[in-house]
Amino acid sequence: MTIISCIKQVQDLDMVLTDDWFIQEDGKSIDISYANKIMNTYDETALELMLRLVDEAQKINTHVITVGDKSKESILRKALAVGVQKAIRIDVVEKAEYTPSAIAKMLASVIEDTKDAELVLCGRQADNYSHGLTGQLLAKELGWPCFTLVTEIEYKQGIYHLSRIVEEGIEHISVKGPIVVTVSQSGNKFLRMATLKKTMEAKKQEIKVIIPKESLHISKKLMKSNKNLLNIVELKVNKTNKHCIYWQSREDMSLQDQLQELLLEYSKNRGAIG
Amino acid sequence: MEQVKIVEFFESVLGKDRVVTEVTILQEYATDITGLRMVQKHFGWEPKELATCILKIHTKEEAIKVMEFINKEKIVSIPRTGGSGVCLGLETPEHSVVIDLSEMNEIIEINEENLTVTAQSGVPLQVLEETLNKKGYTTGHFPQSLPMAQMGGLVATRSIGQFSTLYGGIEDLLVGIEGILPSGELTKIKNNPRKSTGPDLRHIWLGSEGAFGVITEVTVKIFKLATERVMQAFAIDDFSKGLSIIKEIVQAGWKPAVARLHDKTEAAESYGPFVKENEGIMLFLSEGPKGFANLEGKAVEEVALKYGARPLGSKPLEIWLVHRNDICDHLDMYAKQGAVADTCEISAMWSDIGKIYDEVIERVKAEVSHIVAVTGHSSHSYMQGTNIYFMFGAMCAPTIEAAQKTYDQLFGIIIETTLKYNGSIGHHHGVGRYRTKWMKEELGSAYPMLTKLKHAFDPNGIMNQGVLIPQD
Ligand SMILES: Cc1cc2nc3c(=O)[nH]c(=O)nc-3n(C[C@H](O)[C@H](O)[C@H](O)COP(=O)(O)OP(=O)(O)OC[C@H]3O[C@@H](n4cnc5c(N)ncnc54)[C@H](O)[C@@H]3O)c2cc1C
Repeated sequence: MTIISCIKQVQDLDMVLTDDWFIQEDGKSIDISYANKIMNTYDETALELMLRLVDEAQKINTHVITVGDKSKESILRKALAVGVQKAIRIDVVEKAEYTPSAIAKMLASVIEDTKDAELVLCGRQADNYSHGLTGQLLAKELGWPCFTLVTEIEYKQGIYHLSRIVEEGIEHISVKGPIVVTVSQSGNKFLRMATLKKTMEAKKQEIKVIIPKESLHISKKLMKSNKNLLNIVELKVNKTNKHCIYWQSREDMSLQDQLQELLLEYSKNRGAIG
Repeated sequence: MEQVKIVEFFESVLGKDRVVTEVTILQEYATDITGLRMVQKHFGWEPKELATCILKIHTKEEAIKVMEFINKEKIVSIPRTGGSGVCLGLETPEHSVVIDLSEMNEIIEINEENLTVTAQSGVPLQVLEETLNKKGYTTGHFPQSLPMAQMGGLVATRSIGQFSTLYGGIEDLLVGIEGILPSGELTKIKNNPRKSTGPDLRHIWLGSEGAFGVITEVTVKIFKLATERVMQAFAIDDFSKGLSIIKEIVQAGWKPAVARLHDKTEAAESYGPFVKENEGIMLFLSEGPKGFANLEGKAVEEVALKYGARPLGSKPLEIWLVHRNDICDHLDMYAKQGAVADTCEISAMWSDIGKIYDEVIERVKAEVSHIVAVTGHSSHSYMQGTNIYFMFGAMCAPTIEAAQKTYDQLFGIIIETTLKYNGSIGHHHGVGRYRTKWMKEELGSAYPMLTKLKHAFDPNGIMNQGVLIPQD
């Protein structure tokens, strides 16, 4: 059985300075070119969940796939260094950020060609554009069920036991593969660290490069509009309207009761405060 | 004396509320934030020995009574303020008491004529800095632990800040100081710009790590906020060239407040898009009265360019300024991933520092089997030499013992190499309990001076027993 993690390189938005969140003169872009390139944090968690499954049951093959040009290979090498067996890059030179559907199609074609793929993990969304679509569109392409916001996966005797976050709490689902899951973050699921030795070895390891079929490739037309930011007419920074309430101690009401009253009012009239 | 009686005495001095005996809190106070303990906690470490109680001191009169009592009863005591120490200096032997001065936190006087501020031991540095900023002043003291450390602890560990080339370490900032000896004597060293009246007694407190008594109040210099700042970064293809650049700048008499050289691994990790493969990065910040920063900035640039450094503009500095203390928000980040990670800061003369850096990096990579990364930067420079702040992370079997072994191996390599080249095993974190095993070698023939000082000030050996000097 093979498990596949789909991973993406993004820029480390935490590094971007508050003053740099302004729209460039074109009205459609923000310059964050100085931010480090890292693996999308949700994808890191997904990858760690995949590795934990292997820790439990050794007979699992593990693959990672990314879509992009050669500059995206550093995240694949990181994945190899932490123990993934095979890394695949779908070679797309164009910037494909705004086309989750095209990406899902390309990923699906590679996954379909992987004989015994049973489980595909994606991060719930990418840190940069936060579409939150790729995993679900991929499931549609593959015709597999999709479980979103998964935080825990256990595999026992052919059954996947998933924990997912829902509004009411944590939902537990037991299901057979093949499935796609999108992974959300939860405590203590940091991607493990690679030793220097493994990092050096991973630098020499082969990365399989797949040229996407012409029919699946992001179309020229799409790319053209992509250059102008797909469907984006203008970016604006919303000014948040924050204000602060100072509580006076009141003789007739405890602070706890005051807070309760305030929250009640807030829930009736969302947005009035906050 | 029975533990119950001891607690009763403290309650009679401080009141019940300020004598803490709750086990969960005693556990929290049983150590500091040394990297070793953080990963060991992740592997299930729990303190075997807990203090009898924590004393929340509010006044010096209370502190005097407490000190007289512990001395009479020979109770081991651990002075404490911010709790951000990183050398196991706060560990609590059984039956000890923690003398917590963090609630003695009044800013007593900002003197705008003499440019000093007097503050109690428990004033958080960040609070002091923000208070001064509002009046147009700064402490000039910016350790990375700024959000955690407090004035007493800063003096007690001989701390240093990120702007040290200009403002100096805490030893350059301290003007006067008040403390209580174990005998209960309140001692005050008055504020003077300089004097020649015997040894400088302030230095007994500086770096005392709680071993000689408790510091209750300090007076430190303050500075007018700089009117101008010049920030510039450079990429450099060789670490030793970077060291030469800093040496030339400081030996020419310039004092760029920030002068940092990060090796290629740190540069790639934190400033990836700015540097090419194998390039390190240098960060310089000059500040001062009108005209000064520009003048110094030009001199810095000239030297950097002469050595072939590649200018990167001011952005890396802007990023560094914003993110420099981020680690304080997730101190156990590496420990949670099961990594033995910490930092070790040493110093040496210019003639030796490069050798130490090269040898440590080489040895760690060759000898520590599961090393993840070992890196270094120079961040505090002087006419005679500089420091190297090594950072390391290594994996190990998930046990307390394996973590200890890996940690000892890593620290051992750094400190052995430093001593081999006559460097100092601690540039600013102090000795704590962890580094005592190397103190004889560190001090050489001067070692008896330290043991005699300890004996003179603390004849019963109760003050933070086990720090500075190895316990037999
Ligand atoms: C993330 C991080 C970054 C750091 N960066 C720096 C840095 O840039 N520069 C630097 O110098 N240090 C740094 N440190 C180390 C640490 O913050 C300093 O040593 C600091 O000075 C400790 O102050 P504190 O108030 O937290 O002292 P504590 O941790 O409470 O105590 C430290 C030592 O001082 C003694 N002590 C405390 N208060 C008193 C007192 N009133 N009287 C007598 N003895 C006392 C204690 O017994 C102990 O031995 C860093 C630590 C961390 C965790």
